[in-house]
Amino acid sequence: MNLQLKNIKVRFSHKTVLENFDIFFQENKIHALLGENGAGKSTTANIITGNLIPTFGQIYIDGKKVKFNSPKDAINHDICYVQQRPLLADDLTIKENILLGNKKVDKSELSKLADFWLKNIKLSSIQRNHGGDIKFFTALVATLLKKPKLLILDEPSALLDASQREFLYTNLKSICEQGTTIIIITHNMEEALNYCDYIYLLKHGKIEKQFPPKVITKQELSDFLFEKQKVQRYFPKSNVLLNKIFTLKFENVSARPSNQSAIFNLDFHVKQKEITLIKGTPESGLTTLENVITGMANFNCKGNIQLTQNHYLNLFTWNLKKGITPYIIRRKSGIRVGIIPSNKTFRASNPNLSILQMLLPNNSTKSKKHWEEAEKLINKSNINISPDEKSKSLSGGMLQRLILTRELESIPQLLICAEPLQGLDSATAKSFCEELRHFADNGAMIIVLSSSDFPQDICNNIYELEGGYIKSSTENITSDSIYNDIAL
Amino acid sequence: MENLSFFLTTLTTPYYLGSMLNTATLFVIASLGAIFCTKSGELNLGGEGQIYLGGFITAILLNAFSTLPAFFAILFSFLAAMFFSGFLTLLSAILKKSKNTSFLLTSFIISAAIIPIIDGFIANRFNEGTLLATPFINERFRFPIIFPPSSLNVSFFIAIVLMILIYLFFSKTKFGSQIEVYGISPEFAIYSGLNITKISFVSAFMSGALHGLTGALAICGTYYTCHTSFAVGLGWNALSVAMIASNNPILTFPAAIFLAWILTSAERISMFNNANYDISSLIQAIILFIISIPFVANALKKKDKNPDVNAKII
Amino acid sequence: MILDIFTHSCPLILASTGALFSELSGLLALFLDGLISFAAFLCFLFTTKTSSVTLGFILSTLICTFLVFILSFIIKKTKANPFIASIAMNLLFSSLVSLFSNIFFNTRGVLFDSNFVFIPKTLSFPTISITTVLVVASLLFLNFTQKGTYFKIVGSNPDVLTARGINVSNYEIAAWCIAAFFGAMAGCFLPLRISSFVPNISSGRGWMALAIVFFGRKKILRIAFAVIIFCGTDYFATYIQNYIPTIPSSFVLALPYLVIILLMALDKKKN
Repeated sequence: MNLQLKNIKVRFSHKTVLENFDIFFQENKIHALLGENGAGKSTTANIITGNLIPTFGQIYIDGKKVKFNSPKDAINHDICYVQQRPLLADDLTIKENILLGNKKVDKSELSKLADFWLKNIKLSSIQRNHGGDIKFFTALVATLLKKPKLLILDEPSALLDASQREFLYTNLKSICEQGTTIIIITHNMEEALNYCDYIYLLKHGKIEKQFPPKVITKQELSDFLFEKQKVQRYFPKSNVLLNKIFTLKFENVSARPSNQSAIFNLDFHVKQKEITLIKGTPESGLTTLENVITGMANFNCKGNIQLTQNHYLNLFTWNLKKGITPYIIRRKSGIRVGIIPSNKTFRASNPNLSILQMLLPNNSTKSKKHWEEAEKLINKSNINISPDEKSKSLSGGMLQRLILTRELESIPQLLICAEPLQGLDSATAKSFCEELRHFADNGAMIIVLSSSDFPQDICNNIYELEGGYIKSSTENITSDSIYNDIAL
Repeated sequence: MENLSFFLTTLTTPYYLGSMLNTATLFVIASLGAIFCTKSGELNLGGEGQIYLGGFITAILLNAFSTLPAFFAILFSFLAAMFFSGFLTLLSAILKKSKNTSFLLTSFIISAAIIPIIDGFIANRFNEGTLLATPFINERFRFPIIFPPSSLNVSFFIAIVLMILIYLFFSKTKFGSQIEVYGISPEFAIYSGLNITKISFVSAFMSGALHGLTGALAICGTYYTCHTSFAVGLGWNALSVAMIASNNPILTFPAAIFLAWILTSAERISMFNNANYDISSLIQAIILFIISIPFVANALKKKDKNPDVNAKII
Repeated sequence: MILDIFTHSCPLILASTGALFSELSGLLALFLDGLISFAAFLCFLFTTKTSSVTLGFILSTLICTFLVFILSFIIKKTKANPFIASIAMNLLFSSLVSLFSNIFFNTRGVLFDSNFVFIPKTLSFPTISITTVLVVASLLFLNFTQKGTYFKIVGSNPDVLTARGINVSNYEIAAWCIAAFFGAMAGCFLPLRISSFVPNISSGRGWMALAIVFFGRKKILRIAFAVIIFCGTDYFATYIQNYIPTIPSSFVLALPYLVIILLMALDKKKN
């Protein structure tokens, strides 16, 4: 299928996301849409898959004009979409999820696809019990079963490890050869260069350049795509904590939630001036741990979180069995806390809140003082929006930046970051890591929970979570090796 | 055509105009109670029971305090009415926090349980002769009429003051803004460290208390006795007013007047046509249904600054 | 007596099954209680007018389901608030009962008719068998068919269904129609066993059904347990004054609701 978008304009009440947008996807090729956050990649995908009706413009399939009023229309034209967070029902089995929306199913085709993409996975098992990678492959099998003529994959590598990514990309070619046009949305330049036939560089809602990969090198691509960003200092250089050494100890932290992975007897500590990284997949208990230490657990937990000063003075103990909430953490612990959760859209914010409410939840009355405060935070994040707009107007990356600004504004003494680099493009990610290291150097205690590649060079302690246990730990990495070269 | 003239004469006849405004007064206060709950993201479906309880408590306490000075008797009775009705709704909030039950379901069920119990008390122990009503309250406790021959009384001014106070509460106070944030996104509110127990408990209590106050004012201002059906339909009408007003406290007055006008006129039409009172409850139902449709709310919202057609998200 | 209790419980079981579909769709059928009374009235009306209880049953069920279909269609198209709208529907059905009762029978009180006399013992078999067939069919449908799967997730994962090209609105409307169908059937059984129609014949069964389903958290065993408790309460509430005459009738009326609250208060916390 050849797909063409002509003269597309996407305008919301406050901003224009795409304008005079023309793009042509040649059939049976793999196309990459590359760009920063807010460039218009997801918007393009949403138009093609019927999730968004553009203000203006036309869609042509094989030269014929078509109109998509809903995802169903796109599906009827054999267009399929695997979202970045695959849309699956956690309470159903993998097989039921694959069959959703499929009226007639060729059982042998299903077995063949399942055997290939979901090796050794029981199709009758409940989706919830499996990880993000299985979610991705389940969604992929569900779409391949429909024999799509156009397949869109949004950030396919987000949920996969290195070997799985290679497995995916090497097999995408054969899917292509069987008559499917593939569009990949990514900000991973290597994957675009190595596996795709065409690359489209999106910037500010326009296609800046398009290439067959062989024409451009990685460095040129990187330079072209990412302008030198002015590194935002979130706060003036100062000693955050004077003459005291704070340590946050996590002792015997356990939890067995009914619908998430369990964690068992976790022991780790976070010291002032240190970044502690806990890495693992969400299924290894990372999400559960995040919920426990941020006070968002609605299940029973055990263990202690102890804040000590100068190694012996016990300032505060959080008994997890009694229950802990962000109210206690933020207001009763005696230290300033910043929390950046993994769920940016519905926990760190909400689409229906105004920007003012999202930035100043404690007191969002529309006084002049609060308005100015909100505008200050918005400017710091390099965003152009009014405080009375709704949060849903923000793109993913803008929302992320605003959240970071808000949490760092109070100069927290303890910063808990879960999946902080998710959704950030390389430049912003690099800038954020620098900030984090700078923050730590100025005296903060930082915990990072990450399932994707987080630069380990800037971390002082690294714990690896697997199956709910800490599999390995590397502590007290000296600062010599830190912050010389932050790897991407 | 003749029937439609009733709508006009409701506004032009002093008795009906006054009755309409009196009804609107009760609607305003109860709807402010409904708004307290909806601002915090919940639906209070137990309005009728809360109003009834408030009226009942007021009636029996005023009869018990008949020798006290009017100011104290009324103050104590009103506070007691608000406290007990507030407590009823607070129970739903407590159940939600401790057991994660559905607030709207429990608010309705608790109210549905209390109504027959109060009916029983009135029928068996507190009744005035053979009437299904408590004894009439002392004349000293009855609010002055401001627009004879109707029952419009000073509670009209109480309603206006309350409306302004509650509007200021939500728009100008820190706690009010926190309630709104919680109502939009409880998860975000929890994450941000807001004291959500305080938010949910206070909203629920205030919601019930205001309904209780409605009952109290109905006794002292309009009926002077708690009869078994005085609160019927009041809860749903309050909810309707809150919806017409798009949960904006300042708009409860025009919304209440509008609804009271429709209902008063409709009742007159049905009486004139010898139809029974079911017509008015039918009209209540139809109005509530129509109000649930957002065009009413949208009509009150500001127009979009940019008239260009916008992209549509599915 | 056990058979008696079971027969007595069938309306509640049917209403709970209907409530389950609405709970799965994420839009509680708050109109259920009013609908049950309305269906009971229509059953009485059509049975007495046509002298056929079967016709009475069928017409009542069809009309109720059709009315709910039209109203839920309007709600979907106008994007109305479904909670407020279904409360309005509850009020509507309740007020229609007394309105039509007055129109057709010139009274809003208890209705008797020579065409509407039934021997309770003869009702046991049809009541129990119809209820069993319908409930089993629903469970099989929900758990073993693809459309049943869609019903199961339409409330919790509507975006998943939309992304797969399935029209979520259709299933939400269908869920309410199924709730109306079961509610109407429940309503039709009620006047039969007392050979008359009394105002407010539902006695809160619609709300009980919603509470049962909510309490049951979509788990069959919990729902069954809750049904048994409520049925027992329901049964004894009707006859309790025969056993303990000093209990005031107001308490008896409040009893089902008090039991619901007690059960919810004693329950473990739902995650």
